[in-house]
Amino acid sequence: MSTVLQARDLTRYYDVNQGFLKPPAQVKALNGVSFELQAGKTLAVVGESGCGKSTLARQLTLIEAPTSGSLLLDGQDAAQAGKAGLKAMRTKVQMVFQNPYASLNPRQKIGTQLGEPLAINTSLSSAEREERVRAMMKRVGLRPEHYYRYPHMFSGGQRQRIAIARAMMLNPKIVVADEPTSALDVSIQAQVLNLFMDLQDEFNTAYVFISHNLAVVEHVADDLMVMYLGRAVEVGAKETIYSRPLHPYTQALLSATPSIHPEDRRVKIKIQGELPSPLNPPSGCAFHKRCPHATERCKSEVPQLRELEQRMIACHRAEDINV
Amino acid sequence: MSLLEIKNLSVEFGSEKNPFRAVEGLDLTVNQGEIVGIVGESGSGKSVTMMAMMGLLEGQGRIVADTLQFDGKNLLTISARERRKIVGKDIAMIFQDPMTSLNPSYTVGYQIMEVLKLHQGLRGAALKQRALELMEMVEIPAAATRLAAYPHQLSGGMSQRVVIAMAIACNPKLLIADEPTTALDVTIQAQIMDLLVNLQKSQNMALIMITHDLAVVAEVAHRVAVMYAGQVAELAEVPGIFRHPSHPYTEALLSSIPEHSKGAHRLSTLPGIVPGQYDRPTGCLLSPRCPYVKDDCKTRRPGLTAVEGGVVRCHYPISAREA
Amino acid sequence: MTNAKTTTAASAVEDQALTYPSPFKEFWQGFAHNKGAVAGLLFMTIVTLCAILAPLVAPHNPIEQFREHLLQPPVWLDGGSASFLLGTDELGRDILSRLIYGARLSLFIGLCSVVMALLPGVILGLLAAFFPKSLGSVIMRLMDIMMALPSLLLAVAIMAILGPGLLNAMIAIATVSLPAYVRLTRASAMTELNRDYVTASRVAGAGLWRQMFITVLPNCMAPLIVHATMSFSSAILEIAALGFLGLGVQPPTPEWGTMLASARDYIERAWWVVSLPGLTILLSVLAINLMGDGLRDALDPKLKRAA
Repeated sequence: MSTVLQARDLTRYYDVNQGFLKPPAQVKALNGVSFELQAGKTLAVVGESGCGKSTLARQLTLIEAPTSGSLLLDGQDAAQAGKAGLKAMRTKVQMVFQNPYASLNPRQKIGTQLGEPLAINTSLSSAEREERVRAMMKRVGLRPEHYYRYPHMFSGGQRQRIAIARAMMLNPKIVVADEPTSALDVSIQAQVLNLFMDLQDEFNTAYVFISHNLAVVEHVADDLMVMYLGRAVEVGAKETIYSRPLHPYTQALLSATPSIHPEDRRVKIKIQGELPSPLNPPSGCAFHKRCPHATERCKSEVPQLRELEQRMIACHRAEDINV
Repeated sequence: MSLLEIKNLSVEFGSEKNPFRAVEGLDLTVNQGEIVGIVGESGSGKSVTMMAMMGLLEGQGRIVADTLQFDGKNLLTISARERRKIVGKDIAMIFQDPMTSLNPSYTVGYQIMEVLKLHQGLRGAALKQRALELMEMVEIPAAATRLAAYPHQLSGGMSQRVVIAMAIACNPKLLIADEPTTALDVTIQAQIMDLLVNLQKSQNMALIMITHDLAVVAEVAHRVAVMYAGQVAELAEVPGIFRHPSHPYTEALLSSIPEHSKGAHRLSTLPGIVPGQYDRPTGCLLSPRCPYVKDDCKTRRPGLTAVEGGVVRCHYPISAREA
Repeated sequence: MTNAKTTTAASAVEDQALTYPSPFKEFWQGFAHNKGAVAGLLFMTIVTLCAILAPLVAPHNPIEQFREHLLQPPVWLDGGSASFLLGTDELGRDILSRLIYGARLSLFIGLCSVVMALLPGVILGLLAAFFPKSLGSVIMRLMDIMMALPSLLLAVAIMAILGPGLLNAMIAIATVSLPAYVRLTRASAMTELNRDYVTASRVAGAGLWRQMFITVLPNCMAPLIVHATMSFSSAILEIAALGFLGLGVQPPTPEWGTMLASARDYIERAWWVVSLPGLTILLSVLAINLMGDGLRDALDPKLKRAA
């Protein structure tokens, strides 16, 4: 098995203007994230708004350069690749977006949009491109006459199929999916998730699946990374974490996820308060203000990721609270 | 006597010649102190039903019903003036996106006090006192200072609490929540659900919960109506409806949730999409997609028949078949 | 492999069953759907034809002065005559002929100044949207300065630098109307830039030019088309104003705006000298605006029905 994606200590800071005569503040949207992804596997990134999921997606798709840290795509370092190198690397990572209504160009026909990645990155003739586009359309369950239609003529589920087809056109090694089903109805969500799984089996694509829906994540993921305010708080195999979450935030997330059958429900852990603003993060452990187990140490010292029970976890009290 | 009684409600949009029935033959009763969930995919008519009941569709849709009664008053025949006295006072509604349901130009306190002035005629210190009381009821910390805050200064969770405070300001008998937690993060969603259920109990309100998330209603509702293409497909008690669904559509919805097929590689899906405006089948609306379809399903529209714990719109309900 | 070939062959057959209109036909279907737009197009076609065939259509020479027919009213009023259908002006020139010849210059001026403002305006606007920090702020401040000056004053200043003449007048008018196009393009491009589809094309590897002109620009066209048709009329009127100051079209060359401006003194005695050129401008502008609406709708795929 080959590692297709390796992130080491990725950080991304944004400067935010605070107004006239005030020094710009720094938002640490991504604050040292490391992980590895194998071909044909799915890493799920879980967290609530402001945790840095979308920033991570922008780094992985090479739209933005990280402030520090390194990103190895298929063994190549993105920071050291030149302009041409970057262009070649971009074809290896593609993206599926959350909102199927905004992610397609309203003024272009589906055929043109699907052919665009090929037109930019390959030297195929237009007939060859059309053939490839049609084959991919068939693969994701679109009908041949859809080739000439505009995006507004499709339902949300069909649009997401088109978006997936576009991402798969260049046969990428990695697809970053940013909440791809959160805008869809349940029965459509199931169809789209199945499509993701089928394409992964067929093309051995690695997925970075960003979501806040833990039920969906449990279905698709191999590995799980739980993020809170720009940092990973718990990283490990899905089974390990779902069967015994150790970080209080992971526990809270899992218990907050509603469930249909009473026997699947976890003991509700009430966490107080709101997500802190990334502009003004709490000292020490970012979660300490909402954590039921916080101590003085949590307020002052930032916990580092360390290994515990076959996973990485960033919590000072992981041992004491999980006996 | 039930608090809300709807019998054979139909809502039509479009021209007389070419009408589109958004809701068709809907029956629903809600009792005092009861939580009823309405579940369905987008376009199934769940929100339209509530809007029609509250008279918010005037000039857009044509509403026909045998009975539309709230608290002993006939909502079909009362004047617009009388209706205004009921809607907003005895019936209150919470919308999906808290950010857009508050007016960005006024402070939160002002908006709450407006409602109190309008419906309860409070003035001066009593008004302020009641506003504070409401803010505390919805568990907003530092309520007194938050009264002077503008909506953009509050987080999504806080805004939704303010919206809830405004909705319960006049002690409504019925609270309608239209996807109240969809726009919120998982941990905040759990807090808001908790709050809603607690308020419902303490105020002895009836609560109608419109959502597409089956798990949310499974945790809180007493009865659930499953809607499909403008009709109630099944209306039954929780948890029976989730353990032994009688309608094939309910069954399909349940099995398309990832939670339901744990460990399976593919999710089971219902083929096809919800029938659109003009391509509704002549027989049962689900017949083109139903896995159990029989010949007469395609020609005969089923009515609501009683099953254990509720009613179902199917010629061959699953529970009856198995017995 | 054979499998793939049969499927493409099969889909090709299906395609023929479902014939799709050519882009032009599709455009025309959308355009023809709008009755006002078709009427506008018809009117403008007639005006354009008259302009091109002016020597054949016009009854008189536009600069010939009939001294015995000064300020003669149109044919349907007392004192009108069939040889001057729309009457004559203060120098005894046939108004109909002047309108027909004037169409040549007026349409040319309108078209040229719109195009001369639109093209650089769109490019500057897109650049300002794509590089909001560096280039964008420079462009936008420059546009703010231009907008801060009264437009006629700015046009006169430009004319003073470039010297009088028709081409220079058009350049001056185009420059004056440039900021509006830049702001409009920038504003709509900025909203489109935040959409996921633009990010998607970046992820697909699209370069800057492709993103600017193929991905974003078509989605910003609606307000631009409307504004362009609107500024067509103001260009005609501004050219007249410059002509009045002796900087634009010089008399006796027939031009609608100049005709309107020079006949102002006779408005109480001979209404037709002012009203007829005014009516012509009004109808042309109306026709062009209607066409613009039709154009905008025909280019918007959202308004097309599922094929």
